[in-house]
Order: sequence, then structure tokens, then C-alpha cells
Amino acid sequence: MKEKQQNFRLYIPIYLVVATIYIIAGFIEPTFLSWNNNVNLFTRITPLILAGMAQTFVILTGGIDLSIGAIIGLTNVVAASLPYINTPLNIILWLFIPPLFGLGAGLINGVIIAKKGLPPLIVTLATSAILLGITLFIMPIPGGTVSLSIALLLTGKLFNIIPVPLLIFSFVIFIGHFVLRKTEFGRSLYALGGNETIAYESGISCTKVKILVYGISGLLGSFAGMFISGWMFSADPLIGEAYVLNSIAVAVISGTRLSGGKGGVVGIIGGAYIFYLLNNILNLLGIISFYQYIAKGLVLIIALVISSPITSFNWRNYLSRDIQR
Amino acid sequence: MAVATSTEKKNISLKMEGIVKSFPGTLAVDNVDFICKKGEIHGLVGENGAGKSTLMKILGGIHRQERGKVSINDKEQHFRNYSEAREAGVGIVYQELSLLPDLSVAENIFMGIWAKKGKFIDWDEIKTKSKEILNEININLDPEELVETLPVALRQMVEIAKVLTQNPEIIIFDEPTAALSKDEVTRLFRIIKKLKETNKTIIFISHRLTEVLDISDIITVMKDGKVVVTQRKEYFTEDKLISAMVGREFSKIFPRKTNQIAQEKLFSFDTVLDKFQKRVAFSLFKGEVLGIGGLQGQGQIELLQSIFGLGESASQKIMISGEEIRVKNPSQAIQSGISLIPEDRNSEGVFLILSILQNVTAATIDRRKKVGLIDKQKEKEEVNEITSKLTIKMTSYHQIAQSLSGGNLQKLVLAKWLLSNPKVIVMLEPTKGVDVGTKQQIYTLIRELAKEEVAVIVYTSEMIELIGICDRVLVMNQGFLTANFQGKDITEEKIMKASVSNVDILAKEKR
Repeated sequence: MKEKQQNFRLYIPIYLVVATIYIIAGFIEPTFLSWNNNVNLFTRITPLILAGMAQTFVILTGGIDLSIGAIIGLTNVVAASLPYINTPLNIILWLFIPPLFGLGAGLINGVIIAKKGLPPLIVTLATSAILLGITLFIMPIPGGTVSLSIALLLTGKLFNIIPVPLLIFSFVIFIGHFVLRKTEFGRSLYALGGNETIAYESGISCTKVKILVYGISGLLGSFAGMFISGWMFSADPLIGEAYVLNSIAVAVISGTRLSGGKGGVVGIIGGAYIFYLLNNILNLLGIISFYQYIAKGLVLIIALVISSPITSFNWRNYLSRDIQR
Repeated sequence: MAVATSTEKKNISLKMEGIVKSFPGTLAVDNVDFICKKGEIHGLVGENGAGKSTLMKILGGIHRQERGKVSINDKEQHFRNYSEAREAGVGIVYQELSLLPDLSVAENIFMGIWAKKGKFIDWDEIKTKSKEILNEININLDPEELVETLPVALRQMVEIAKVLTQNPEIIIFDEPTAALSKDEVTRLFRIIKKLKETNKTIIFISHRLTEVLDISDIITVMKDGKVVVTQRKEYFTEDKLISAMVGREFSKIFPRKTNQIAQEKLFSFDTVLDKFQKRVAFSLFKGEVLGIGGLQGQGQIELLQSIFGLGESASQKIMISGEEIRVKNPSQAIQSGISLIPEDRNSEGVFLILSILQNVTAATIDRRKKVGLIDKQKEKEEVNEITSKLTIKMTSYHQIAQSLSGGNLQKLVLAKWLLSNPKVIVMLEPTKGVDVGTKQQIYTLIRELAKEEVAVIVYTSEMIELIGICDRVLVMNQGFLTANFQGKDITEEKIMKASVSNVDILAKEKR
């Protein structure tokens, strides 16, 4: 019990911010609080939550996945290029082929990073260019479509009450939390991000963990790509671009330390809300898109400053490291 | 104390008064006064973590004191960085060599203070000047030679030359003899004495007490951040120095050794170290505490790390309980019952940003599972048990490791490895930078482990630990195991002799 309290206490500030935004928005525009508007919001933040979670897992190990956007783009295009007539076989194909692409791309990232010891930043930047090329080869301009029943299901309501996107992201976050807390793999992620040398010398198989974590990132990215295809009822090869920065921002806002070892997935829903609502507010205020880019960048930097070691830790601890040598 | 006369005052080159410096969890230097005179060699001794290095780093401008003042030649100084201290006349010859091996002797000597002709570096000038400085300390060396090709002793001389280019008033030698042979030490001492004659102030830090007694005019002993005593060297004997350093009598710090060791061979190791290309083999009995001694950098760390699967050489052979095992990486080592307490706790021991629980369980995550998942209840119990056994001071096990003191951090590392139930536990410098209380606790723990029939291998650079805790001591010298002492044979003299003697002579004697 005590441990749980400890874990969740970390996320209180994030959800306080979300609550504050809700209250202010409700005052300005009462329809904001309406169920319909919220159902709409669930749909819009689902891909952001999926991408944010992919990024969080990777960042926890001390890595980063810049190819998440390209993976979302690729799987989005693949999902919308498959046969879309409503047959059971087609639906099965739609369910399994895009994740294979996502998982495959992620595992390739992981193998290059782990086996060759190359920096994730550059490797994923390079693979993201390759994936974008493949995506544009498959579908140069927005188009394609998915089966109608999939589209209706993804943005619909279960038993006409529970919005499916809410179910999807709650389930995924629950699984993510479970994996981080209860499995050997989850523990290893933190150890790896805490200090790779020590993790290795503690008998943790760093190579395996790294390959797996990029694979999971790719898989979650493909879920985001698939969801977008159902939601938009078509695909856009460049849809993923924005998710690179957005996923990092969500991970950082939700309390994950950029250099790894600290954080979790429980804050992600809050992080995604904050980031999305901020965009939304800027939109409503009629602010032109290039100011929005500036605002997004600033939010990321502010989140980093707030959570950076220099402000949240005693700086002396850092100095004392080189003394012991 | 008598009032200093004006001539005496004039002779004082360095005055450090009431210096205080703390690091998280430790008061590294606690209200220290330290005074040196011109033309005097001032020995500074103390155990690791006594505060010598911190004090010298304050003098060298690397750390800033929290309180107290530093004056050089009666002028108060406030160093903000290393170069300000250098300009004020403080030169430090470091123990770990700070030279760049790919550059020439001359380039190293004049690194950062290049002589220039117009906008360009004047190489001729640098070469002639390097030659001059090297001649000054009687070293015949081509300034164009690459540092890489020089033996350690000569590199040390280059290091000294480098410091001399800045024409310092105060020269600090931080363990300069650690890697030198006896002849080389004599040569170094000749240089130091020559520097003394030019009226420089010399501060000499060393763990080798005989050398300190030999060369110093005056000796200061530090312990736990405080100065214990400052006296002229005639006052001291080696025993007096040791008891001042340790602060209590020898027999009281160390637990009693067991008289009998089970004669059952538990572990044997046979390898050829890549670095030295020499065969090394030894074995251990159940419940034996084996010390590995010798000067620093003689291959001890490489040897012991290779037992744990770090930097394995192709030809190694490890046997545990009569069975040959393969250790290619730490994971295999842990599974075979081998643990390693690393030398540098901050970079290899503790996950500083992770919690106590995450740290303690890191080596055994895979061992507490219920239907494939981590058994949190069992985990909690084990962590509670081991942390209270080792008396780790903490508020809860969710506390972040970073906030613990050095002693508690080391206990955290020990806790982690004890949970893995090792049969053989290798400890590299297990008491480095921890307080005396924790040291004593670690010694007791080592004895307890031995009682539980664990074989313990200890590498320590502290002679008194080798003597105090080990049942048997092997001395390593240039990649060779040169001696094997047991029982009453474990003495400082014998270990020292085996450590510094020429390896080839020893090899011949063996034949």
C-alpha cells in the first residue's frame, strides 16, 4: 500500500495541472465539459498516448526513439493500403500486418543500437529517414482507406456507453504500468537507465533489454498508426512527423527523466492531455501555426528545465562524483 | 605556542587556516590548519578518505572551501579555478598521470602555455625550453619522443617537468612513488631534494610511511578530515605514524581471524592476463579470506575482474567445487556464485538515481518470481532483512541512493551482492572512502562471510587491511604473483619487499 502511495504521489502535480486546465476551460466555454466534447478528446489523444508511452519506455533505458514518427507514418500508410472490403480475413490482415511492420522496424533499431553500441539518437534518425522513404514509396500522397467496421469500432462506443479510445488507452497504460512494476524486463529498464555499466555488472542482459525496448516502441508506434488510419478513415504518409517532438514532450511532461532511470507510464495520460489541450487552446485562440510550433518547443524546454537534475537535485551531489576518484 | 618571530613568519610560504569542506554525507575537511615553510618538505599522511586529497584540491583550486582562508606568502588567496592557483604558484604532480600519450614530451610539458612567434606556436623555442627544464632535474630525454613510448618512471619525470615550467612556489607530490621501483624512488627523491634547495615548499603525500619518514622534514597526520598531529620527523616512528593515522590500536579495529580454515578447496583460477602475458594461478579454500597486495597497477584489478567475466582472456580456467565453469560475462559469473564488489562505487557500484530497493535487488531481479512475475512480498522481506542486517541508515527503501553517505552507499553495494548468495566474493577496495565505523563493520562482515564458508578475495591498497583481515596474502608485481604469505608471515616488511623487488630476480630465486 505504502509503495503504491509513493508511486502515485509523483503524478499528483500532473493531474492537478490537467484539472486546472479543465476548470479554466470550463469557465470560458462550458461546452468544453460536455461528455461529447470529452469523447472527442479521448479519440484525439489516443495516438499521442501510444506514442508517448513508446517514447517513455525507450527514454527509461537512457535511449531515445526519433523514428517513432516515421513508424507511425509507415504503419498508418500500411494499414490504409490493405484490402478494405469487410471480410473476416481482411480484418485479421489489418490487425496483424501493420504491427509486424512496426515491431520489425523497432527491432532493427534495437539490434543496431544494442549490438553495435551506436548512439540511439543517430541510429533512429537514420532509420526514420529510411522508413519515411519506404512510406512515400508505398503512398506518395494522402489516400487509402480502411474497412468501415474497423473505423466505426475504433471511434465508437462499447455497449453504446464506453468510448473505445478510452478503453484502448486505459488498457495500454495499465499493461505498461504492470510491465514496469511487476516484470523482470520492467525492472531492467530502470537499471539500464540508471547506469548501464552497473546494470551489466549486475548480470542484466543489456543487449536483450535494449533490442526488446525498441521493438516495443515500434509496436506501440504501429498501434498509433493503425488507430489514426481508423480515425481518419484514410492515411497520410507525413502524419507521423509531429509525433517525434510530441512523444518526447509527453514523456518528459509526464515525469520521465530524459536521461533515463526514472519515471513511469501513469502520468502519460495527464501529459498527453496537457500537451494536447495546450495545442487546442492555441487553436481556439486563433494563433497561427508557426507560433504554435514555437509554443510547443518552449513547453518542452520548460518541462525539461523543471525536471532537470540541476534544479531538482542538490548540485553538490554532482560535484562530489569526481572527488571520490 | 610561542609567538613567531618575524624571520620565522617570513619563511612561511603557505598558510591554510580553519579550512572546512563538506560533501553530501561527509565532512571531508573539518577545520584544518596547515602551514608550510620555504625550503621544507612537508609530509602529509592519512588513510584514504582522511581528507588529504580534498585539502590539496582546495589548495590547487579544484575545490573551494566553505570556510577558512588560504594565504600564500602572506597574501590571502581566493582561487576560483585551477589556473588561478597555478598562477599563484601552486603546482601539483598528480598520482594518476595526466599526460597525453599520443603527444611528444615537449608538447606535454608546454601543454596550454605555448610559446608563440606572432600568431603561431614557436616549436623550436618549446623544444629548447623543454630540454632545459629536463636538464635541470637531471633527466636526459629527447623532447620529441612520444610519451607513449616512455616507461612509467620517466613519465613521472615529464609530469614534474610540466609542473616546473610554471615556476611554482609550492609543489605538491600526490603519491608520486606509487608506481615506481626502489631505484626510481631514489632518483625522484634526489630531484625533490634539489627542489628543496632552491627554497621551494614541497608537500609530499604518500602511503609508504618509510618513504615519508625518509624524505620529510615535518609530517602532518590527518584522520577523518582533521589534523591529528603535526611534528618534526624525529618525533615519529612508523608505529607512531600508523597509530596516529588509524586513531586506535591495531588489534581493536580488526575482528579476530579464525584459527582453522576448512581444508576443502573451493575455487581455483588460472589465467594469462592480456596486459602482462604472464600466467597467474591461485586457489582458495572454503571460508578463507585471501588478500591481494602489491603496489597499485600491477594487474590486481585486471586479474580479479577477469574472474567476474570482465575482460576475459581466452585461456582462463575457473573451477568451483571441483567443477569447471565458464565465465564470459558478469551474468554467468553471478549464476556460478561469483560476486564482485567494484572499486569505484559511484561509477560501477551504486545506481545513484535509483531507489535503495532497486539498487539492492538489481543483481537478483530474476530470482524472486511467482508465476513469471516479481514477487513483491518476498522482495520486500529480503530487502528489509539485508538492509537492517547491514544497518543501512535510510528513511524508507524508496529513498534515492544519491542522498546516502559514502559508508551507506558501500553497504548498499554489499547488500546487493550478499543477496545473490555468492560462494566466492571478490572485493576491490571495499573500504575506500568510508568512515572508520563502517570500515569496522565491513571487516566484521568479511569474517562472518568466511564463517559461512564463503571464500573472500580482497584487493586493498591499504597495507594494514591486508595484515588485519586476511588469512593469506598474495603479492602481485608486474602481473606476477610474487609471494604467498600466511599467518605470522603477513607483515608490512615482507609484503613491501615482495611488492617492490625486481620481478626477474624473484623469478630466478624461485627457480
